[in-house]
Amino acid sequence: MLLNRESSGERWRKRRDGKEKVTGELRYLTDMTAEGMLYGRVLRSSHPHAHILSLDTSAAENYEGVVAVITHRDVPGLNRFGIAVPDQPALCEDTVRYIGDAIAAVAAITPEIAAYALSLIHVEYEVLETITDPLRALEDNAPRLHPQGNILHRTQVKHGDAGHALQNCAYVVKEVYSTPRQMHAYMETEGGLFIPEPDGRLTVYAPTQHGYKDRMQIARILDWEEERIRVISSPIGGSFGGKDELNVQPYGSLLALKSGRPVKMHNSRMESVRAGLKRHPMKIEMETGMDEYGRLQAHRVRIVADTGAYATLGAPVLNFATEHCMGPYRWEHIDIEGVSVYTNNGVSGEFRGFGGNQAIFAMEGQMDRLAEQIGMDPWEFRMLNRRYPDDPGPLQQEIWRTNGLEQVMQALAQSSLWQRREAISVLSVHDSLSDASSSPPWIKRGIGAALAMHGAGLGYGIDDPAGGRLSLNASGQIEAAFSYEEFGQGLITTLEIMLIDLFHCTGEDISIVIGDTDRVPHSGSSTASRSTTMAWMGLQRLKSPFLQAILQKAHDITGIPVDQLTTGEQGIWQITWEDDAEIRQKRVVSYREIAAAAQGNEFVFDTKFSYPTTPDEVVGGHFLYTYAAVAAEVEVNTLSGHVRLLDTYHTVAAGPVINPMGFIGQIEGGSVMALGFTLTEDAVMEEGHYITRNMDTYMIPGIQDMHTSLEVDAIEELPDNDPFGPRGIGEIGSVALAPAITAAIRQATGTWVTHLPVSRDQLIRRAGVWQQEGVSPR
Amino acid sequence: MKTTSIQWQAVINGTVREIEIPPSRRLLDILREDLDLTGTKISCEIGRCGACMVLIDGEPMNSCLMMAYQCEGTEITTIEGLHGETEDALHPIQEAFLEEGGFQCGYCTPGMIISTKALLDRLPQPEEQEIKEGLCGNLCRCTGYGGIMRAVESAADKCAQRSSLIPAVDS
Amino acid sequence: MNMYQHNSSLSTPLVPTVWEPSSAEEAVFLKRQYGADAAYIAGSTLLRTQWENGLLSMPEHMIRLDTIPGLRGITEHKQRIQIGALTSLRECGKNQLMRIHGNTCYTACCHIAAPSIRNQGTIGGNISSAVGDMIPALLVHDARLVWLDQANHLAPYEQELIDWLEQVRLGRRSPDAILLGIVLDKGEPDFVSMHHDQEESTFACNSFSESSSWREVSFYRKVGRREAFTPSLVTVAFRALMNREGTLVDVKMAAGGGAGLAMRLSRCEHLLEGQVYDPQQTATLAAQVEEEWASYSDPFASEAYRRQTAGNLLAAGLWEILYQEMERG
Repeated sequence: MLLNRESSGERWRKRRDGKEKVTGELRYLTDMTAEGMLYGRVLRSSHPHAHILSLDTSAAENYEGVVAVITHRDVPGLNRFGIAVPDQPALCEDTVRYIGDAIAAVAAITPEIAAYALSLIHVEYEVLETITDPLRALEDNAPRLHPQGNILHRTQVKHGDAGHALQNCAYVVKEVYSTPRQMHAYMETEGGLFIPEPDGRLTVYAPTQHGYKDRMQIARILDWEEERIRVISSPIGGSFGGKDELNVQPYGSLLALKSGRPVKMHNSRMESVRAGLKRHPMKIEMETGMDEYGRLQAHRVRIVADTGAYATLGAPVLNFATEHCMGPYRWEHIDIEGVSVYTNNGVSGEFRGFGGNQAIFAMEGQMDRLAEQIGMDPWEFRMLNRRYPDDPGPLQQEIWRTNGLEQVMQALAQSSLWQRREAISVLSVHDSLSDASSSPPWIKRGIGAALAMHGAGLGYGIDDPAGGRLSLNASGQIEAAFSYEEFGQGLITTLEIMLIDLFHCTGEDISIVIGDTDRVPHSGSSTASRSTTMAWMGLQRLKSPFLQAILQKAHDITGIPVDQLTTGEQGIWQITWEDDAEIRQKRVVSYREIAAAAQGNEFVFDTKFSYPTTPDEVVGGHFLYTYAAVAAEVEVNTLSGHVRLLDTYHTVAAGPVINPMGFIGQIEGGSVMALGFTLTEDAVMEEGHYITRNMDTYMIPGIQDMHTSLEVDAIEELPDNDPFGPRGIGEIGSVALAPAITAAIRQATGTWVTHLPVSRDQLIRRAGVWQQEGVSPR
Repeated sequence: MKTTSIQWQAVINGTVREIEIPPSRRLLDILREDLDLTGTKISCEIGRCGACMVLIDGEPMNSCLMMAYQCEGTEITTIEGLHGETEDALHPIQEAFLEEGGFQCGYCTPGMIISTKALLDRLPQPEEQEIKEGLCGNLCRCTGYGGIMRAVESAADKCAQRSSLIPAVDS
Repeated sequence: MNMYQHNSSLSTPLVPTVWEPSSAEEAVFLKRQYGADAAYIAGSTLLRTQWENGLLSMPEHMIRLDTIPGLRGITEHKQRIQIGALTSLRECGKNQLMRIHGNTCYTACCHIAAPSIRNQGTIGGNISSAVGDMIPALLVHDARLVWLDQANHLAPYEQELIDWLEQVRLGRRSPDAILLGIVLDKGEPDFVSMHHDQEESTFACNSFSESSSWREVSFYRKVGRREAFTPSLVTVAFRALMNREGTLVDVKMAAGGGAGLAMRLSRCEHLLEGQVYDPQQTATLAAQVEEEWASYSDPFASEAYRRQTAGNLLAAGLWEILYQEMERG
């Protein structure tokens, strides 16, 4: 179904958190203040790689208005953080490994004094060789950035004999693809408010995608019991993976405890760029062979990922890229090796798509080249080689069977955008699609498409807990509590719609509690496209016991048999049946009255489970996949090599659409983020320093860059008895646009693109060329 | 004449505000820190994202680029000053953003709505290209701008409907 | 290479002193008194960016230029128009005198940055940066700058923009001079000023009037890193007089972009001067631009790319003028 406001009917629902956002009333955590609050600032390294020879904070400590200064000596617990591997110093002791490394932090009575105090801290460095290239890091004589060396992680997938098979293939395509250091560029930079409470606890108001994980990490740094810390983590002004890891929390917490006063931290954009995570730049070499009929035979892949100075989720990102560089295709022979390498370039980590973006760009690029080599239509070529629904997953693991792949492939083939391409494919590759009378001869158009099979959840072997709580609260509202976060994706409204679907109540009958470790149960992180599925499954589990309990209470109060009672607007309604149709007669008791009659936690229900995983022991292997197909039409101005995205079609098979406004927003937003990845975005580093330090040089797409038209086609059917409900779609909108655009560029200009963002040098043509083509003023 | 501190005065959202501040203080800091009007957001601090957009004498300006002395004595409208027919009611632009999904995380939204206000005040029925031109100084990382385009188009219709309800003075 | 400088960019957390001179002379006096610790402030949009990005430290003394009377607005004189340096880019982009007598400048003003920046940024600031997008446009209009400086005994004097750029290039720019305004000559009375907008926003070209045999043709093009609100990679401007036969005279071409200084392309101008433009010349012209324009490389574009793009844009712009001419019949 083409998704839009009209086709969504009543499910098109204003966001529950919307009014306070459009009025500016909403206090983001970085808008908060507290009485007697101090301002915290962090001193970061001047060098991308150096030994710290001496550190003198005395002048800063003595400066009037400075209340606390901290260094590594002030860290009572583990002076390290990192979601997967804690190897990043909260405050460096003797070595700095990137220019975002923190050395000291200051809390002062004004932001100006805090900033000035940083300049009074004297650090003496011994500058070491800066490793900027992962290949240099792999050399034997390279400096070792960590005790175990410079390799964070290796992956390997092998079956068959790819080397031998490639020699016997009728056609082989070998290419090296590379992708940029993309920045999340959430509009709200990292920050928060840290309050030491009179009862000895610490309240942390700071955005994150997993409040409980932050609580664990902060407790580890402070050497505290986790329960002494309360983490309030929503609302969030954008994250996209970037706020999953700790950022300012160690400094805010330590400064607040040392000064005994509330401390506010809020990174400037420059500091955010300097210290924050980025997407892993990857170099992916692929050698892919097929037989004389165009059937894929062998695939040899080598991935080198620049993970930067510290681990965070670098290893799982490489696992994901490895799993996704085989596409949804059938292979006889596979030989894949990946390596994630430490360098002195920033820190790469979690980012929407999680390594899939890079892998899918390379894989789909191979598919287009192979199709062209054998003279087949690129989509037919994919059809020929697609995996079958019962085939094992990319890592030979058992996966949940759906027809999603088939469905998105059919849908794209039938889309008007793709059919437009078919209609002109009789023209030679270099013929422009454009109507010569309306466009000058230097404008070339083309259409391309790409396919994605995207895993959700953290994967086999990684703790992936889920759960939730459903209760009738004291004020008579059906209250759902999860440890998921609202960073804009629309979680709150999605939960509201799920609850209305379940209980036929109104928005006012509902309370939704998220983002507060004191008030929500453990239900895992809001990452990996998992929270929609987990919330849905959680509510499915909680629905029956909850209903049973409150309907029984309604029966106790009203005497009406339970089978004539149901939940509805503002309370329990009596129903009768007429010709199998349920008729709601009247409300017999309000939720408030039921809540008032509650004894203890009578109406509080918890559930705990895990994200579904494959039964096969393949670490990182996924069980649930969603599918997407994307077609894009571009216009290339060969005077400058400038590329414009004109038209996009995006179909996604991810089960029922709960929240259509949120769904469209995720696909459109993911798509434009992918447009930036493809055409304009790259956090450029030279010798370990960022060259693009703010939004004046780091170019995210603006409103003028967006496509003129984007169709979002949601395929909602799932197999009968599918127990997992709606699948997450937070990432899949951003993973397949790049290869569709580069395929379109190929059609428009005859140029294959292997490096992102697309280099204009490659697409510019000499002015003479359009003259020689015989086009001249008429 | 020189100054290091001024008795700064402006009409903010219809109310005269007067404070003593350095003349080089950024309007952004005056609003967020001194007056606790945090609806105006802080993001790039160099005028490239539009999150801090306000109206100064009806024109959109980046409050991060504006020093106190540059806007002294002006009329300033922030997102907190925008409302419908009553103070509690939403402005039609705000309604349209809400109905069309013109935002997600919401952090760019106050600035985006302020720029839309300036645009529609100048061009009540803008063409697609005029909308894009009017909003090209506001970045959004969540929506991909689709919802924003739909919201601005709908807002223009809403504003037109409202004004057609008001009887014309003559003819 | 850019280094982060926490250790040196701040002297103390003191707030700057803001000076409000009532005349340009007073401003120059203040600037001379405080030297490098002082800066003139107009719209401050670029300065703020440089302060926040750590490229410049905030001055201890800010010298307001907006308190000096007479620096704002566009006025018409007998043979020229004068644009006050503190006129906002927005005002310039709405002004009919600008449109008629400085058409490529007018187009440039409509497309620099974003509406909010144009409300605050001034034309003088754009020029003073020495790398503003206005400069190639002003160059093809032979703009002159009006300065006030101690060296000239505080008497306003005019200087060709191109000469000032040369001073900048040689590092001989006067640190104390105040830009008071910009002067554009009005065109010859026997050619026209009928202007109309083309479909493409960055393209403008004038048309014949029945009574005139020569008309002005001009265009302005900018290629940035995204569609709008972007630093320029390449900016070009073209202006000439053309008669019905297609003969071009008084040809002016300029190219700039990024952090490189803009320049006039005199050999390209010479190539076209007095000639009837032949579409077959497109490649020659593009190649000539490429050869003549000295640009530079940075992480966002190579010098070769900038040169080739400039050549293409100028050749294609001229091609389009002729194309439209022929379409028009």
